[in-house]
Amino acid sequence: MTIWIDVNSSVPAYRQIADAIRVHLVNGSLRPGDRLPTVRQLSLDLVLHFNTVAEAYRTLAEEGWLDLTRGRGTIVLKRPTPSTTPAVRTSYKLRVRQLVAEVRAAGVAPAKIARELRDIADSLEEPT
Amino acid sequence: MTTAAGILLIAILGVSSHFTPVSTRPDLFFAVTIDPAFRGSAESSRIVRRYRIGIWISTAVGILTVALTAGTTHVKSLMLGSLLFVIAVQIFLFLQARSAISAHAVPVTGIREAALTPRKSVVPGGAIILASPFIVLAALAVLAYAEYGLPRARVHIVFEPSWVAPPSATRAYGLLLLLGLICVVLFTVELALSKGTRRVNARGPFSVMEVRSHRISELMLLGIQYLLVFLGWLSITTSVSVATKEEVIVGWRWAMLAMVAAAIGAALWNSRLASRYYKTPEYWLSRIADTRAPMARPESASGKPTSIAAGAQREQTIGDGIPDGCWKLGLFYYNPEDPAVIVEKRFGMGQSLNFGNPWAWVFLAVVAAVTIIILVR
Repeated sequence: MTIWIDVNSSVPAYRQIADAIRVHLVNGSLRPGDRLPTVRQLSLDLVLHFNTVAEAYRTLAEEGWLDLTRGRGTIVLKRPTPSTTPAVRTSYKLRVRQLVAEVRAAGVAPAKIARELRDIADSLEEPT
Repeated sequence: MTTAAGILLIAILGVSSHFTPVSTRPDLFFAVTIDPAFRGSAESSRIVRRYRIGIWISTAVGILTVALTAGTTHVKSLMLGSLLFVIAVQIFLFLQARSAISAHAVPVTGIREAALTPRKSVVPGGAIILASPFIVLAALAVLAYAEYGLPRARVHIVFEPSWVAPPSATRAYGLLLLLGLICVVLFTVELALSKGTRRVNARGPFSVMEVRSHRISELMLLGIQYLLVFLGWLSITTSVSVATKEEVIVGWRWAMLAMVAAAIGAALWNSRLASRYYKTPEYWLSRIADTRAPMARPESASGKPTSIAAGAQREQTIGDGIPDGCWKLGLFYYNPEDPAVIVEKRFGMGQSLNFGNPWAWVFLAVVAAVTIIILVR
């Protein structure tokens, strides 16, 4: 189980880390009770300051994904699925469209974007 | 004996320098980040050939100098001079090759990868095995006290085991102090290796090699500590008649030779694995498999691939992910933004200190203090 970040990206590193870990949390690769690497270990491997990784972990903890109790390490929690609101649905639609526009502006062909979105949709609809 | 040791040391330097161009990652060449395909080019072969010819000429000159000056009055000074000459020439040849390679450098991508699993300790037995040398030394100190009592004279740090000089309180405590200081330094290095280094690759054959290389380094450091503690035990327990004085000395020399051979073998094995992997189809297939993505990399107007938004898909990590400018002269790593104390060397086997990290200077201060204490007392 691996994450990647691009330090040259305009997206802050801590958000890239949080987003990458969230993918594994959502698709079930990381299960409740699993341990994540320590802040020190992850910051060493990604060549980032400790505070950057700590901020990423805090972000996920505030979303209810992680337990950061001192002395116990970083543990994945069993997070109840929150109920969505119309504002959340509107927000994610807007973000998806913005991301697609950004990727198209980077030069990716629309057909390839569509194929990737179909693959993601198929994986979401598969029974777990 | 001194001449033979000097010749052997210079020969080992020559052999290790001969293999160092192939003992690093395929996209690192003389501490410069390159396209791995460049290694198979005619220009690359020419640079390596010129480097190796210089290495062997300097090695031959050093060996001849030591051999021809054997038996003279200043043999030790001349041997030291030959050694320094060989090292200086090797550094010059490295810098010359690095300058030639720099014209073919590629920019380091900003892609960094990390495993999401906690790192396991590479030392079987964990803390107990790490602490045991100090526990044994403490027990030997108690034994020395029981046998000799407290030393009545000032204790000097000495390396005089009981089979070299008659046992006494001063020598026993002096030897234990020396062994304890050396074990402290080795333990500090082990700690830095396990807690202060990073894994550049989280998957693939090179991640396996990284783990193996760290494991070999830590186990060798541990082995040296146990060997030293064994020496202390042999010396302190003078009543244990397991062998004669001559047998102990011969056995000790064979043990040291075995350790040196094991270290050289481990280094060559790792470098052989590196060179074998980057040339085989398996390596290139693993690269393709790692970079294959549902969303393909976009092509720019010039036809060269461009990076895409982070989080969507990754490119292959190039080299060790560190800009070449952080490696001063290709030998010294200085990066204040890197939290690692010890990093993988870009040239040759082993690790290097990050001189941009204050803890690296603390470590150097500890080593310097221990060295001064040993030399002065």
